[in-house]
Amino acid sequence: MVTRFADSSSTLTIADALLRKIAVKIQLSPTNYGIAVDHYEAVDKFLGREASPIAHVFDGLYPQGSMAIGATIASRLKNDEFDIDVVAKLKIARDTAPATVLDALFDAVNGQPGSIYHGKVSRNSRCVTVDYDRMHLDITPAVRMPELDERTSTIFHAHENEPPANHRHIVANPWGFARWFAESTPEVSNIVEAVLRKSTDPVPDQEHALEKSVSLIALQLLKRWRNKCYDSREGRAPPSVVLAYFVAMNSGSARDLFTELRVQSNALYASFAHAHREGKLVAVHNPACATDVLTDRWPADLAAQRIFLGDLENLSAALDQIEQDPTVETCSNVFGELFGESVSRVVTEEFQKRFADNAAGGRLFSAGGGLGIELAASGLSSAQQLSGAAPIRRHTDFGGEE
Amino acid sequence: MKAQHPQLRLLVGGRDLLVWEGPLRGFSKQYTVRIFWHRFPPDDSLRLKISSPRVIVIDPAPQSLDGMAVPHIYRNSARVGERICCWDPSSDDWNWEDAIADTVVPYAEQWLCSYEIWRATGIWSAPGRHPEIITCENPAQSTETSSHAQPAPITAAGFVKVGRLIGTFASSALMAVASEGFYRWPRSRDWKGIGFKGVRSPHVSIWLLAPQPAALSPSVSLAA
Repeated sequence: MVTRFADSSSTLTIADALLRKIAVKIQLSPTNYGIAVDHYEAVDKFLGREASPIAHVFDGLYPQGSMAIGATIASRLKNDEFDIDVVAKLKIARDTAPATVLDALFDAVNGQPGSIYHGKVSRNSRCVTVDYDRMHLDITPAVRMPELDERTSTIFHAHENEPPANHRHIVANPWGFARWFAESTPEVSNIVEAVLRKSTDPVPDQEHALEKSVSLIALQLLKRWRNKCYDSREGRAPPSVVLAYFVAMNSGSARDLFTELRVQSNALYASFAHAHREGKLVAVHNPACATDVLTDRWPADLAAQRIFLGDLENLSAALDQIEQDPTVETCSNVFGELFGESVSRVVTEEFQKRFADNAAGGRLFSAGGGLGIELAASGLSSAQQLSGAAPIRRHTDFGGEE
Repeated sequence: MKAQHPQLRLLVGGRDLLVWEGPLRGFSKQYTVRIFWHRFPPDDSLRLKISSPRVIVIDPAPQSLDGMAVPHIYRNSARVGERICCWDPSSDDWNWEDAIADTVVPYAEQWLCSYEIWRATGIWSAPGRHPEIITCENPAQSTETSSHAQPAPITAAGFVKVGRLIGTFASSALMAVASEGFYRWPRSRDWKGIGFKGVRSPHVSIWLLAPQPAALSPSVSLAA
């Protein structure tokens, strides 16, 4: 096991400190957060404006997926591209032909030549995507089903290259999933509740999330790891909502981030290995809507499932390495393999600089074997927050032959 | 020490020599560390600095990185592990009046953290000073260039005076053994030839009584 600190006020380890910093690096920055909100509100107004061809049936946007639970991360490894997922509420007949709905939404967002989004919009099989500089807004049209649970909706599937016979209506409840996720991971419930209450406030406070939830951070890290695994592969990757489902199902047993990541990794492996041994595909249903099959597009077959199972085996072996040798060196190397060399190197270098600054300034302190040194170096705490912490007198390391 | 760092066990608690051993942590890893202190009172007339506590990281011993030697260690000064240099002996980082528990131990902890970061980045993160190699055979030819003057090598007369101060040359034998990182107490052969006649050079080292590595200079600096 990773060495625990004697001080019961914190279980922070070097692995935790670096993991938290990586999580900060891969998620929406405050700047991008503001930009995402601006885009979201602008599209909401654009679709609801008088001249909009769907103004009479458009009933507003609300966040779904990672955006709803505050787990948005960069979708690309080499730059800060983010996918923001929202639902467009439409007041139309739920049996409207899927292609018709998606085409209408595409036309409404794309607008006339010269309009704000013209040429930046693409139509996908279930949503319309607006491309911004380093950000994508995925708008999924949905029609409420008032006879079912709150916000259970019909969404539409119509791949342009598929015959109409393959087009279909899907009963889904992404809003209900976000609420279930919040209830299953109590430490994030306040954040998600705030988002769900006010749909025009779509992105949770990222720093607040970091302080509150190891489950949420573990989910972000798993998504980043998934992105790295599938960065150069053809075909679909495991959907974020499937990872979120397993994280919520296994949340609550760990108090520190590394252990949470370990728990989640083990749980994912156990679930997929069990299904694979049985010769079955993992099947996950939305707990808020039984007909909403979250694995309907992945895994497509056992081969796709086996690839992910292999990734999970590698993840487990990498975390084992850290447990056996929980040093900065090993953490940095392993996290580079898991989450990307660039982000791991940046985080390690920042950690080094902070430690150096604190050492030069006499701002390190000792509390029962290194705890204070670590916290100060990680920037996650200060001496005042530790009981029994004693400042280390500024001094100079010497060196040379004797 | 016992109250602040109970994990460090007192191995030797004599009047002239104190030796502790036990685990100290870097960021997340524990190292077995030995701290020993030849408790000579300061004597400026002898220009001795041999009373500074010494810290040896025994297990796991610090390892080089891609051919780069570990910074801030006294090379070839410990038979087991590495003697680390976690403060500047020519500064006020440690004085006779300072409690080892308040200074040397946290200095060693910080050194271990710096070492772990160095292993990951190749950068030493704490303030440091690297003197050039000290040659003590002929003080006039010293290559020391740092701003801090190094103490002159101890003389035979000084050695006698030290013996008087601490009561017996026998203490020196114990210190010599401890200095080399031995786990055992000296045997009879360790004492053979001890005394003024045993000194083979006008420059005396407290390491003389311990087996000399082949490459070790017959006289070494006592500055630490």
